[in-house]
Amino acid sequence: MPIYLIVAYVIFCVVPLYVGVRTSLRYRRLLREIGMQRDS
Amino acid sequence: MIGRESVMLQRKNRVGIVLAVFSVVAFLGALWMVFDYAPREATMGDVQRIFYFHVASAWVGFFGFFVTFVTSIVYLVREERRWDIIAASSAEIGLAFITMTLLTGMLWARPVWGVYWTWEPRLTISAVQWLLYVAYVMLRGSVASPEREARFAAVYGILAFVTVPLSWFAIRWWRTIHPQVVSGEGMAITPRMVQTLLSSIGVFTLVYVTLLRQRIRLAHAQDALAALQLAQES
Repeated sequence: MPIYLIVAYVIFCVVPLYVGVRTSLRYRRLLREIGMQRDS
Repeated sequence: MIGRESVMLQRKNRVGIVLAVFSVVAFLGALWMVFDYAPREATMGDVQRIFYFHVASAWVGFFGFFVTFVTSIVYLVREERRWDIIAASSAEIGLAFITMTLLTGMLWARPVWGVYWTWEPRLTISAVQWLLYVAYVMLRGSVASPEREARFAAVYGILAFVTVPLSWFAIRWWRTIHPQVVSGEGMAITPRMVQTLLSSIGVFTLVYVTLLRQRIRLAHAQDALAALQLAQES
Protein backbone atom coordinates (compact mmCIF):
# COMPACT_ATOMS: atom_id res chain seq x y z
CA MET A 1 0.00 0.00 0.00
CA PRO A 2 1.63 3.33 -1.05
CA ILE A 3 2.47 5.72 1.81
CA TYR A 4 0.79 8.61 -0.10
CA LEU A 5 -2.50 6.70 -0.11
CA ILE A 6 -2.30 5.97 3.62
CA VAL A 7 -1.45 9.60 4.52
CA ALA A 8 -4.30 10.87 2.27
CA TYR A 9 -6.87 8.64 3.98
CA VAL A 10 -5.58 9.60 7.43
CA ILE A 11 -6.29 13.23 6.42
CA PHE A 12 -9.75 12.28 5.11
CA CYS A 13 -10.60 10.61 8.43
CA VAL A 14 -8.99 13.06 10.86
CA VAL A 15 -10.17 16.43 9.45
CA PRO A 16 -13.98 15.81 9.49
CA LEU A 17 -13.65 14.06 12.87
CA TYR A 18 -11.66 17.00 14.28
CA VAL A 19 -14.17 19.58 12.95
CA GLY A 20 -17.12 17.57 14.34
CA VAL A 21 -15.64 16.92 17.79
CA ARG A 22 -14.33 20.49 18.18
CA THR A 23 -17.72 21.99 17.22
CA SER A 24 -19.57 19.67 19.61
CA LEU A 25 -17.22 20.45 22.51
CA ARG A 26 -17.52 24.22 21.92
CA TYR A 27 -21.31 23.86 21.75
CA ARG A 28 -21.44 21.95 25.06
CA ARG A 29 -19.18 24.54 26.71
CA LEU A 30 -21.42 27.36 25.48
CA LEU A 31 -24.55 25.62 26.78
CA ARG A 32 -22.88 25.34 30.20
CA GLU A 33 -21.98 29.05 30.10
CA ILE A 34 -25.56 29.95 29.08
CA GLY A 35 -26.85 27.87 32.02
CA MET A 36 -24.49 29.64 34.44
CA GLN A 37 -25.46 33.08 33.10
CA ARG A 38 -29.16 32.27 33.52
CA ASP A 39 -28.60 31.02 37.08
CA SER A 40 -26.60 34.06 38.15
CA MET B 1 -32.57 36.16 21.29
CA ILE B 2 -35.66 35.31 19.28
CA GLY B 3 -37.93 32.51 20.48
CA ARG B 4 -37.32 29.86 17.81
CA GLU B 5 -33.54 29.75 18.43
CA SER B 6 -34.15 29.56 22.18
CA VAL B 7 -36.39 26.52 21.69
CA MET B 8 -33.80 24.98 19.34
CA LEU B 9 -31.07 25.24 22.00
CA GLN B 10 -33.25 23.72 24.70
CA ARG B 11 -34.24 20.75 22.54
CA LYS B 12 -32.10 17.63 22.85
CA ASN B 13 -29.89 17.07 19.86
CA ARG B 14 -31.32 13.66 18.89
CA VAL B 15 -31.29 14.41 15.15
CA GLY B 16 -27.64 15.47 15.43
CA ILE B 17 -26.70 12.23 17.19
CA VAL B 18 -28.56 10.10 14.61
CA LEU B 19 -26.88 12.02 11.76
CA ALA B 20 -23.46 11.60 13.38
CA VAL B 21 -23.93 7.82 13.83
CA PHE B 22 -25.18 7.47 10.22
CA SER B 23 -22.22 9.52 8.98
CA VAL B 24 -19.67 7.32 10.78
CA VAL B 25 -21.27 4.06 9.56
CA ALA B 26 -21.60 5.37 5.98
CA PHE B 27 -18.01 6.65 6.11
CA LEU B 28 -16.75 3.18 7.10
CA GLY B 29 -18.83 1.66 4.27
CA ALA B 30 -17.30 4.10 1.77
CA LEU B 31 -13.81 3.19 3.04
CA TRP B 32 -14.58 -0.49 2.39
CA MET B 33 -15.71 0.36 -1.15
CA VAL B 34 -12.57 2.40 -1.81
CA PHE B 35 -10.12 -0.22 -0.54
CA ASP B 36 -11.92 -3.48 -1.42
CA TYR B 37 -14.85 -3.04 -3.81
CA ALA B 38 -13.23 -0.73 -6.36
CA PRO B 39 -10.74 -2.43 -8.68
CA ARG B 40 -7.04 -1.54 -8.79
CA GLU B 41 -6.35 0.99 -11.55
CA ALA B 42 -4.02 -0.46 -14.20
CA THR B 43 -1.71 2.53 -14.82
CA MET B 44 -1.46 4.35 -11.48
CA GLY B 45 -1.98 1.36 -9.17
CA ASP B 46 -3.32 1.73 -5.61
CA VAL B 47 -2.49 5.44 -5.32
CA GLN B 48 -5.42 6.12 -7.71
CA ARG B 49 -7.75 5.23 -4.79
CA ILE B 50 -7.10 8.75 -3.42
CA PHE B 51 -9.34 9.93 -6.29
CA TYR B 52 -12.64 8.74 -4.71
CA PHE B 53 -12.51 10.81 -1.51
CA HIS B 54 -10.54 13.60 -3.23
CA VAL B 55 -13.36 14.24 -5.73
CA ALA B 56 -16.02 13.81 -3.01
CA SER B 57 -14.20 16.32 -0.81
CA ALA B 58 -13.96 18.83 -3.69
CA TRP B 59 -17.69 18.36 -4.39
CA VAL B 60 -18.60 19.12 -0.77
CA GLY B 61 -16.26 22.13 -0.74
CA PHE B 62 -17.91 23.53 -3.87
CA PHE B 63 -21.38 22.73 -2.53
CA GLY B 64 -20.53 24.46 0.76
CA PHE B 65 -19.44 27.60 -1.11
CA PHE B 66 -22.62 27.40 -3.22
CA VAL B 67 -24.74 27.34 -0.05
CA THR B 68 -22.78 30.38 1.19
CA PHE B 69 -23.42 32.10 -2.15
CA VAL B 70 -27.20 31.48 -2.05
CA THR B 71 -27.68 32.28 1.65
CA SER B 72 -25.57 35.46 1.26
CA ILE B 73 -27.96 36.67 -1.44
CA VAL B 74 -30.95 35.82 0.77
CA TYR B 75 -29.32 37.68 3.69
CA LEU B 76 -28.83 40.82 1.59
CA VAL B 77 -32.49 40.70 0.54
CA ARG B 78 -34.06 39.84 3.92
CA GLU B 79 -31.36 40.93 6.43
CA GLU B 80 -32.23 38.06 8.79
CA ARG B 81 -29.44 36.80 11.04
CA ARG B 82 -30.18 33.08 10.41
CA TRP B 83 -29.14 33.37 6.73
CA ASP B 84 -25.86 34.98 7.76
CA ILE B 85 -25.25 32.12 10.21
CA ILE B 86 -25.81 29.49 7.49
CA ALA B 87 -23.51 31.37 5.09
CA ALA B 88 -20.69 31.61 7.65
CA SER B 89 -21.08 27.98 8.82
CA SER B 90 -21.15 26.60 5.28
CA ALA B 91 -18.07 28.60 4.23
CA GLU B 92 -16.08 27.30 7.21
CA ILE B 93 -16.99 23.68 6.49
CA GLY B 94 -16.42 24.15 2.74
CA LEU B 95 -12.97 25.53 3.53
CA ALA B 96 -12.11 22.46 5.63
CA PHE B 97 -13.09 20.17 2.75
CA ILE B 98 -11.23 22.24 0.12
CA THR B 99 -8.14 22.12 2.36
CA MET B 100 -8.41 18.32 2.36
CA THR B 101 -8.83 18.35 -1.43
CA LEU B 102 -5.65 20.42 -1.88
CA LEU B 103 -3.58 18.31 0.52
CA THR B 104 -4.68 14.95 -0.90
CA GLY B 105 -4.34 16.24 -4.48
CA MET B 106 -0.70 16.99 -3.70
CA LEU B 107 -0.26 13.49 -2.25
CA TRP B 108 -1.69 12.00 -5.46
CA ALA B 109 0.38 14.30 -7.73
CA ARG B 110 3.76 13.35 -6.22
CA PRO B 111 3.82 9.71 -7.40
CA VAL B 112 1.81 10.35 -10.60
CA TRP B 113 3.23 13.69 -11.88
CA GLY B 114 6.55 13.53 -10.03
CA VAL B 115 5.88 16.83 -8.19
CA TYR B 116 3.62 17.85 -5.30
CA TRP B 117 2.51 21.06 -7.02
CA THR B 118 2.54 22.65 -10.44
CA TRP B 119 1.06 26.00 -11.47
CA GLU B 120 -1.41 24.69 -14.03
CA PRO B 121 -4.89 26.35 -14.37
CA ARG B 122 -6.97 24.07 -12.07
CA LEU B 123 -4.41 24.05 -9.27
CA THR B 124 -3.75 27.80 -9.53
CA ILE B 125 -7.48 28.59 -9.30
CA SER B 126 -7.81 26.17 -6.37
CA ALA B 127 -4.98 27.94 -4.52
CA VAL B 128 -6.61 31.35 -5.15
CA GLN B 129 -9.98 29.95 -4.03
CA TRP B 130 -8.48 28.58 -0.80
CA LEU B 131 -6.85 31.95 0.00
CA LEU B 132 -10.11 33.82 -0.75
CA TYR B 133 -12.11 31.68 1.67
CA VAL B 134 -9.41 31.85 4.36
CA ALA B 135 -9.73 35.64 4.00
CA TYR B 136 -13.55 35.28 4.26
CA VAL B 137 -13.24 33.47 7.60
CA MET B 138 -10.71 36.06 8.84
CA LEU B 139 -12.94 38.94 7.66
CA ARG B 140 -15.81 37.65 9.78
CA GLY B 141 -13.86 38.17 12.96
CA SER B 142 -12.38 41.55 12.09
CA VAL B 143 -15.39 43.92 11.76
CA ALA B 144 -16.65 45.49 15.00
CA SER B 145 -20.33 45.91 14.06
CA PRO B 146 -22.20 42.57 13.57
CA GLU B 147 -24.53 44.07 10.93
CA ARG B 148 -21.64 45.53 8.90
CA GLU B 149 -19.72 42.26 9.26
CA ALA B 150 -22.68 40.27 7.93
CA ARG B 151 -23.19 42.68 4.97
CA PHE B 152 -19.48 42.70 4.03
CA ALA B 153 -19.28 38.92 4.36
CA ALA B 154 -22.42 38.44 2.23
CA VAL B 155 -21.02 40.55 -0.62
CA TYR B 156 -17.65 38.82 -0.27
CA GLY B 157 -19.29 35.35 -0.23
CA ILE B 158 -21.15 36.17 -3.46
CA LEU B 159 -18.02 37.46 -5.24
CA ALA B 160 -15.72 34.65 -4.02
CA PHE B 161 -18.11 32.04 -5.45
CA VAL B 162 -16.88 32.90 -8.98
CA THR B 163 -13.89 30.62 -8.24
CA VAL B 164 -16.17 27.54 -8.15
CA PRO B 165 -17.36 27.61 -11.81
CA LEU B 166 -13.87 28.83 -12.80
CA SER B 167 -12.30 25.79 -11.12
CA TRP B 168 -14.87 23.43 -12.68
CA PHE B 169 -14.35 24.77 -16.21
CA ALA B 170 -10.57 25.29 -15.90
CA ILE B 171 -9.84 21.76 -17.13
CA ARG B 172 -12.30 22.20 -20.01
CA TRP B 173 -11.33 25.70 -21.20
CA TRP B 174 -7.53 25.62 -20.88
CA ARG B 175 -4.71 23.17 -21.60
CA THR B 176 -4.10 21.36 -18.33
CA ILE B 177 -2.52 18.16 -17.01
CA HIS B 178 -5.29 17.68 -14.40
CA PRO B 179 -7.33 14.51 -15.22
CA GLN B 180 -10.86 15.03 -16.58
CA VAL B 181 -12.93 12.05 -15.45
CA VAL B 182 -16.39 13.54 -16.11
CA SER B 183 -16.87 14.79 -19.68
CA GLY B 184 -19.69 15.14 -22.21
CA GLU B 185 -19.20 11.47 -23.11
CA GLY B 186 -19.74 10.21 -19.54
CA MET B 187 -17.19 8.89 -17.03
CA ALA B 188 -13.93 7.34 -18.22
CA ILE B 189 -13.84 4.72 -15.42
CA THR B 190 -15.29 1.23 -14.79
CA PRO B 191 -18.83 0.76 -13.32
CA ARG B 192 -17.45 -0.30 -9.91
CA MET B 193 -15.29 2.82 -9.84
CA VAL B 194 -18.33 4.96 -10.69
CA GLN B 195 -20.36 3.31 -7.88
CA THR B 196 -17.53 3.90 -5.40
CA LEU B 197 -17.18 7.53 -6.48
CA LEU B 198 -20.93 8.23 -6.24
CA SER B 199 -21.11 6.52 -2.82
CA SER B 200 -18.18 8.61 -1.58
CA ILE B 201 -19.89 11.79 -2.80
CA GLY B 202 -23.11 10.75 -1.02
CA VAL B 203 -21.26 9.99 2.24
CA PHE B 204 -19.32 13.26 2.16
CA THR B 205 -22.55 15.19 1.55
CA LEU B 206 -24.05 13.47 4.62
CA VAL B 207 -20.97 14.42 6.67
CA TYR B 208 -21.35 18.03 5.41
CA VAL B 209 -25.02 18.16 6.49
CA THR B 210 -24.10 16.74 9.93
CA LEU B 211 -21.30 19.26 10.45
CA LEU B 212 -23.34 22.19 9.09
CA ARG B 213 -26.24 21.45 11.41
CA GLN B 214 -23.93 21.32 14.44
CA ARG B 215 -22.08 24.50 13.38
CA ILE B 216 -25.42 26.37 13.01
CA ARG B 217 -26.46 25.28 16.53
CA LEU B 218 -23.11 26.50 17.82
CA ALA B 219 -23.66 29.93 16.22
CA HIS B 220 -27.14 30.18 17.78
CA ALA B 221 -25.64 29.29 21.17
CA GLN B 222 -23.00 32.02 20.72
CA ASP B 223 -25.76 34.55 19.94
CA ALA B 224 -27.78 33.40 22.96
CA LEU B 225 -24.80 33.82 25.28
CA ALA B 226 -23.97 37.26 23.84
CA ALA B 227 -27.60 38.36 24.31
CA LEU B 228 -27.61 37.12 27.93
CA GLN B 229 -24.34 38.91 28.70
CA LEU B 230 -25.67 42.12 27.14
CA ALA B 231 -28.89 41.88 29.15
CA GLN B 232 -26.94 41.43 32.42
CA GLU B 233 -24.61 44.34 31.66
CA SER B 234 -27.46 46.78 30.91
